[in-house]
Amino acid sequence: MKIQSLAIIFLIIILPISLVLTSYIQTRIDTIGLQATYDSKLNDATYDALKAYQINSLNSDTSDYTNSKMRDIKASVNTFFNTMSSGFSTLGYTKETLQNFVPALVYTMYDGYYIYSPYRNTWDAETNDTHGTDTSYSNGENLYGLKPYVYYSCRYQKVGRYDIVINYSLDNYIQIQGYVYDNGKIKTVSRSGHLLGFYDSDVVTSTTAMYRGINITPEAALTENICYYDTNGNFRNENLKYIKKNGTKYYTDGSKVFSVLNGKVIMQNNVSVSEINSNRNAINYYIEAYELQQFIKRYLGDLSTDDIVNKTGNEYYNAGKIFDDWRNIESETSKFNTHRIDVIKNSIVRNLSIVISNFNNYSGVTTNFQMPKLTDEDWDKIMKNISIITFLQGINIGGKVYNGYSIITNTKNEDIVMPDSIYILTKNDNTFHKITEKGLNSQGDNILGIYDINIERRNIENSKGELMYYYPAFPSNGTLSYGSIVSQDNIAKLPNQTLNDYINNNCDDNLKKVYYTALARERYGLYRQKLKI
Amino acid sequence: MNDIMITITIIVLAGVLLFVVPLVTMGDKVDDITQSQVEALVSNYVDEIRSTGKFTQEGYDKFLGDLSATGYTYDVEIEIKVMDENPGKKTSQTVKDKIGENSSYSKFNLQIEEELKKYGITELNPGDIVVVTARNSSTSLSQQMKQFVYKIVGNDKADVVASKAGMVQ
Amino acid sequence: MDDILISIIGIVLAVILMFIFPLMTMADRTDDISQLTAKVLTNEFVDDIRKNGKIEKDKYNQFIQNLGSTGNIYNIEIEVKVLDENPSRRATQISDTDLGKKVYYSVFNSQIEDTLNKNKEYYLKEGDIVTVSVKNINQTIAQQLKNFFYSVIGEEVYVIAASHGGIVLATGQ
Repeated sequence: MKIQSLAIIFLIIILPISLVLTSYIQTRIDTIGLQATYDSKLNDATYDALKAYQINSLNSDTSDYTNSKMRDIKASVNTFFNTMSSGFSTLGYTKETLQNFVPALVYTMYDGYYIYSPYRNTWDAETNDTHGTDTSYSNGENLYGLKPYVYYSCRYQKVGRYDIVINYSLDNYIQIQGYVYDNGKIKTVSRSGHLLGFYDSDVVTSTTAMYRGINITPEAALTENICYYDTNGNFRNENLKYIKKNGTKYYTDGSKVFSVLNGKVIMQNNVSVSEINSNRNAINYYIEAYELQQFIKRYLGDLSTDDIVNKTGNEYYNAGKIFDDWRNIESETSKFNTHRIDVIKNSIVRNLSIVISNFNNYSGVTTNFQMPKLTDEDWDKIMKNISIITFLQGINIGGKVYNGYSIITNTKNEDIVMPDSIYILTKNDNTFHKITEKGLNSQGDNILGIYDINIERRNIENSKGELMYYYPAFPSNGTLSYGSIVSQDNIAKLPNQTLNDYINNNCDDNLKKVYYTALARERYGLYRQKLKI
Repeated sequence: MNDIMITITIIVLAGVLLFVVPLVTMGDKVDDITQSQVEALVSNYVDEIRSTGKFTQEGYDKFLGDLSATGYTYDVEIEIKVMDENPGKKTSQTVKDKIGENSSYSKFNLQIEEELKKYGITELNPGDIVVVTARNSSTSLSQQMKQFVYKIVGNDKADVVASKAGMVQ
Repeated sequence: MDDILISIIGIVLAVILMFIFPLMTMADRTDDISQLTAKVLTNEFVDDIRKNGKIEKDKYNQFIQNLGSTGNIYNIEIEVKVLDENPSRRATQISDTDLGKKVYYSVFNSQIEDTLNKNKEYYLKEGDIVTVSVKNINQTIAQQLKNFFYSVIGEEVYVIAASHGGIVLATGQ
């Protein structure tokens, strides 16, 4: 055969191979590109949903109450879908089509979580009788909505000793409800409080408190800027003393006490001016924690994971007795903490798996929806603060089907005070620092602990109808420190040292006292539904 | 005769393979790189508007300048979904609106450009959603090559498209 | 005479076709795969930084190593725009209807690498913007072949590039 013919035959073989290879690799590159784009869009939409929730709840005076919270969450879900549909509009997806690809949204809160997902509307017999067929939410219709709140709880039972349910939360706060046996007699109990690592040498009475060797004293009144309309309807912008109790801030101008709801003044009689001037929140916090510790030592001292009443077949890690090492109970590796994280994880994973696999019945898309496995890093983030978890599954991208999720944590909220939310204000230069910054020791009276939410911007409509902004606890020439807040250049804590460890070992007594008092004062002031029996 | 035919065929084929095909693949690659650059530009621009809450003439001009530095011309569509109420308006709790509850009205390119000409700046409120889309309007190198080789008609264009939406904080 | 000439031309062309063309194709494909790898690695690296709020020395070294495994040398540029809220807060204190403008100041490779060498981690906070772009600086085989045939002009012709960026979603600690 002539060489030319051989060449042509060779060509006929090689050319298709190379064309196929090119287009295959091009598709792979496109797929990866699309996947990265979808990841970004999902992250952006979740971040927007979180910002909407944050702004709504920070600017609302009633954000602690359940129905206001549900309204905030629904608004946040709406924002999520709005941003998603705007981001995907070039591909032609609308909000309704996108809902077919989002199996669930989870809002993890302080002591439980909400799941937003579709459900089938079922009428009971009475509703069936009274309503006709011409209503907006009919029987058997698939609707999207918030499912009921699920607490992070676990039930323990030991015959003749106790039968209780403990509700856990994202920090060391627990609620105990149930029965204990006191000298053979059955007793109903309902207690709550934080679990703290008191030293054996700490002395706590009904009026004084000591924590880890530091004596906690009443604080002078705190002040903050507040804008409101007074009883005559005049707009005022003042700097007043206040105390925060059970989620509400009580202000005083020296003679009367009032609180502000939706910009209007409401007089209050059950908080006195002397209570505001001498703030005992921190002392009360430690007293409550100490009393809870005594209660547990007396009745529940040998509570262990063997006592779990496990009707659902969950896999609980066998941690043994969780209340045996009180000194280290606040550390991240304590048995109590390990068990608490276990309970929270199990509850979320179980409910979420069921919801997502049920989604197959509601979605019109032919994909098998399954819950992806969340990594340890993801669970770390979820445990740190209240978060939003979103899922997006089933969209076709080139050769595969997209399956992704996004977890964004809300670090600016009034539901929880984490150990790193307390800033230290140095009064001489009005600068806010994180406690891990160098140079905060030996400052004596110069420092004060401030909750970081109180320096976030709030807005209100002033008397001219314009939107006006103010910062509650930020002084007029205040600065956020460039060494620890704006950029983190001047940090004394080592990278793998925990915050607890740093405070115990590297802070002097004065800084410890300011920090513990601020943390205790803010935690005691949060809204908590307490029933003490 | 046959020999000459075959040789000429081979020469033509060799010409096509050695010159045209690499150009087409190179054109594709350049498009890929341009795509990720444009995505990054659009994303940065929207993030900036989101955080600062202001939409200025100079920011817009700079964005257009950066886009054309990639070598193509683009059609830029901007949509601002403006929320009617603001969350700071303190009426009673039940009537006050929250971000995300209202549907909103949209402002498009023409309106926005008019406002910019009049005031030089558009202020946005927290809760407004900004959507920016950039689509190339000139045909890229690989598109020209492909059209020459396959005579593609109509919609099968390898567009460089990037879009991003975000909520103002 | 004519016959021989045409045969020689035919043979030369055949050689070109059988050896040069596949070589160029395969070299091109290798470049494509390197592009894919670079894109995936960059995306993962940036998303990791955004979610955790910090640049870790180990992860950065791992990123450089993985990029090097494609057989090329890359120029990596990291830019962090740090959000400074102090000016906007001051503006609102002065005029309470003014939101103030949020200011970003940029930090580049050399500063970041300095901090990484000292402390092993570079912390970012929520609201900062991080961008990473990667370009190759050596000449890949495909580029060398093309240069030989067409003398492709332009000093900074790079064929492998990837970039990704976004807002940091959590504060590192």
